[in-house]
Amino acid sequence: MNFISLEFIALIFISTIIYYIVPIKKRYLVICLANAFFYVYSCKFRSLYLLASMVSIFFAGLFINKIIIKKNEVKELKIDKEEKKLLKKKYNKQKKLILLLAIIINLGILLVLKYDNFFISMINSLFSSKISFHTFIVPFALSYYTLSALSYIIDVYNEKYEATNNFFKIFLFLSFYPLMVEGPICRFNEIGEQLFEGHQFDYQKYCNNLLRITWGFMKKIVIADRVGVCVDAIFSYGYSGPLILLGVFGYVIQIYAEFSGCMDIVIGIGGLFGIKLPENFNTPFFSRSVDEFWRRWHITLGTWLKDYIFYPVSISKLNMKVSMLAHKIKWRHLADTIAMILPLFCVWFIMGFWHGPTNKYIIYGMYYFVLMLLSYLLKPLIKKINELLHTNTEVFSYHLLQSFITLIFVTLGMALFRVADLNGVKLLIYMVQLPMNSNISILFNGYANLMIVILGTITLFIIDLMKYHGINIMDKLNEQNLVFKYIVYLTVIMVVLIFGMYGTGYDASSFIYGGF
Amino acid sequence: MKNVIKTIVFIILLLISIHTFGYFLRPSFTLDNSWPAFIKEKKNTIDVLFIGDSGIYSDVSPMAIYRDTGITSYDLASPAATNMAAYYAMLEAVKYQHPKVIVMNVTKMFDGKETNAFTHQVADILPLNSNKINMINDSNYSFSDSDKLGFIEPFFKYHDNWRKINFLNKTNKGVYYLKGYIFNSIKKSANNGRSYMEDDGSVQSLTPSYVADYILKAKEYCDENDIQLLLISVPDTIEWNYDKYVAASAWAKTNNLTYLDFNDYLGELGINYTNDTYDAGNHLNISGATKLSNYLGEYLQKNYDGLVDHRSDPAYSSWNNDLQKYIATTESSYEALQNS
Repeated sequence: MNFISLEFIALIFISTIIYYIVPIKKRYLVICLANAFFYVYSCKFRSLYLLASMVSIFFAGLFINKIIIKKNEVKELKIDKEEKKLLKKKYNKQKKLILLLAIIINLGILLVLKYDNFFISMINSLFSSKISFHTFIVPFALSYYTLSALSYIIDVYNEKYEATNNFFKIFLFLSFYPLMVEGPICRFNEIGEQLFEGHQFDYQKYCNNLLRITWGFMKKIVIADRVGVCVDAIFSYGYSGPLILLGVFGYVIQIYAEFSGCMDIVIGIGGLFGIKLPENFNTPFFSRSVDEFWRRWHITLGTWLKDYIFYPVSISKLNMKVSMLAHKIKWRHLADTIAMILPLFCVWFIMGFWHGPTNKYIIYGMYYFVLMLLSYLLKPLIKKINELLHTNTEVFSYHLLQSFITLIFVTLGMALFRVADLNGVKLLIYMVQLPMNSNISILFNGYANLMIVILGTITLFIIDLMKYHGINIMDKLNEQNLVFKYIVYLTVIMVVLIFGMYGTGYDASSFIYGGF
Repeated sequence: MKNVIKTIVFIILLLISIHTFGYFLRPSFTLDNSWPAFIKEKKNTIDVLFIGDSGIYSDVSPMAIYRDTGITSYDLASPAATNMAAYYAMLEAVKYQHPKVIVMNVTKMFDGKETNAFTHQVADILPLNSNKINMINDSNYSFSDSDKLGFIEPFFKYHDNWRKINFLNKTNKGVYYLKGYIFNSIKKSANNGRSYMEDDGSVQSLTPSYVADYILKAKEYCDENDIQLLLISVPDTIEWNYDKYVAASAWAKTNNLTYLDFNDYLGELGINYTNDTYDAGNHLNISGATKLSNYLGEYLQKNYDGLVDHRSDPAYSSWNNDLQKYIATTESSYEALQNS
């Protein structure tokens, strides 16, 4: 089921209306049914992979819980210290074993379904074997719910919270249907209880969330899909000259409008049920460094990698050794940088690999690894230069320069992300040097489309700017009179309905990040 | 309760906005001109209804028939409409008029359904009732849900026309006195003359498509409602040929249907493909249409009881007025073509 379809819109309204009709304590069952319908309708028997993940983490969580209880009881036992230590060690081992088993099952499904051909080609080239390739049809949101499942079981293992003994909670957590395209990657302690407990109907919130969903659709089918026509043409390498730059910047607009638009739809649907889902974007293009950009872009993936890769690798025995050795160097900043190499490498390698098992994505990850490392390493140098030049770093112009430089680096990264393969980069560099061989009007199928993209992007920018300055546009709108509110609602809806690229003549285009 | 009222008001406003924009976004097609004029005709004053595709509105002139026979008739036809679309249009038309004879062009009986864009040209003018619902749910059309939404509210089909929207130019340009006929005075000769109807001795066996089932359905409806159905194939050197003529005649005979293939009567009609066509033999111009209409009027008069000459009936005085306008509009073009 595509998000941009009548079925999906019908599902949203039917499920939320029934949700508020059913008695409050049974409302979670409506979400369960909607989830099951959405996933089974979309993925048929492939839904069993999701079920396997649910069952595995549910039981693993219960076992780990039991072991933790037993381990905690050791303190009360009347045995000597050495025996207590041995018992604790035994329980820790058991706990770890179950954690590993759950990780293997969940990662195993992901690796087999999504990365099988990558491993087969590796085995074939290493052992000169001829294992034939096989392409599985990957179930919806596999990469997203797997990370959520792993976060649950690791958190239970780390005793961040107790495992639930209610399978419905796990079912709701992993299969909440708005999340089943592009995430966001949720944590159990954020949404587990929210999904289970019934929520009271709030008319104003319901309207606000409908508006947010409509805004999401506007970003996707009015802006992103329209600029996508131009981007697709340019990245098929038939155009040259400055048009290449247009395509590259166009892609930045496309992916931001599309991904953040999808998140508006997802978070808006969550809001219709009274559920607060985590935000995945926070005005990323106002970032003043690449590091800040990644704290504002695809936030839930960034925090997942920080919590489950960066910190564990940072405090791993290997990295501690590296860190101790590095700190023998007198220049402390360099030592700190060296201590960050391994955790950062792991984060960005996994970031790249998560997007897909190709050189392109791995180099995309490495691009940010190098950028992050260099930006950290060069911080003192830049500070020094600024001091020497008496640059005021706390003024708008300096911030603007920082944002601009960040945008350039991010755009280059996006271009790398968009090309079909690494040869595409060479081709783009070659093509950009040639004379312009077409005009913008042709690329956008007319200047009228270009105008819509420009107006849409300006609107997007203004709304982000307001958000950046802490102005909540929804609150401002709620303060207005009913007539004005109706005019705004109707305008937004009619803009989407008239200018949206949907219906006959358009393929219901999927979301770029839905492919990961 | 206050919120329920607010929601209902908002939904009504939204639906009005969608429908209003839909009205302006939807371009005008052939039936947009002929249909409103048709439903304004005095109830049960049309004796013969011509339905089908462009072959009807280009080749059959109801006013030429009226001039010669006094029979009142009307062209309700839409470009590329197959007998499927024509059948549903007929079911709606008979709610306004009870014709004695329905004449259906069957040139497209060997084709599949028309494209969605052409189905829209018919379906969009139909009011949203059980007939239209049956049409959009017809399994032979196999419309997707989003297609169906576009048929229920044409806004969703034409929303992408925003570049061509013109709020000031949405007036009915229909020439009501032509009674659905579209008058054309251009001359563009056909290349192949009458050769398309020659028997070269190797007749290819053709089977009518599922579209022909709707001719049978139309026949069933006409029988039940005391209407006579006449099937015709209008002269057409491009879409028609001898093989189709043989297959259509055999099919009509098998199904006990009255069928008249004008392509087989070109001599009697006096159709001359040098002078009488405006698009190289696909459709007739005013000269060809007049010849065909004269013949058809005479045929109807001879073969169907109850088709009365209304020319001296005061109740039909508006038809005489319309005839004068028709003559004034077409006469010079007709004469020019005859003398060319």
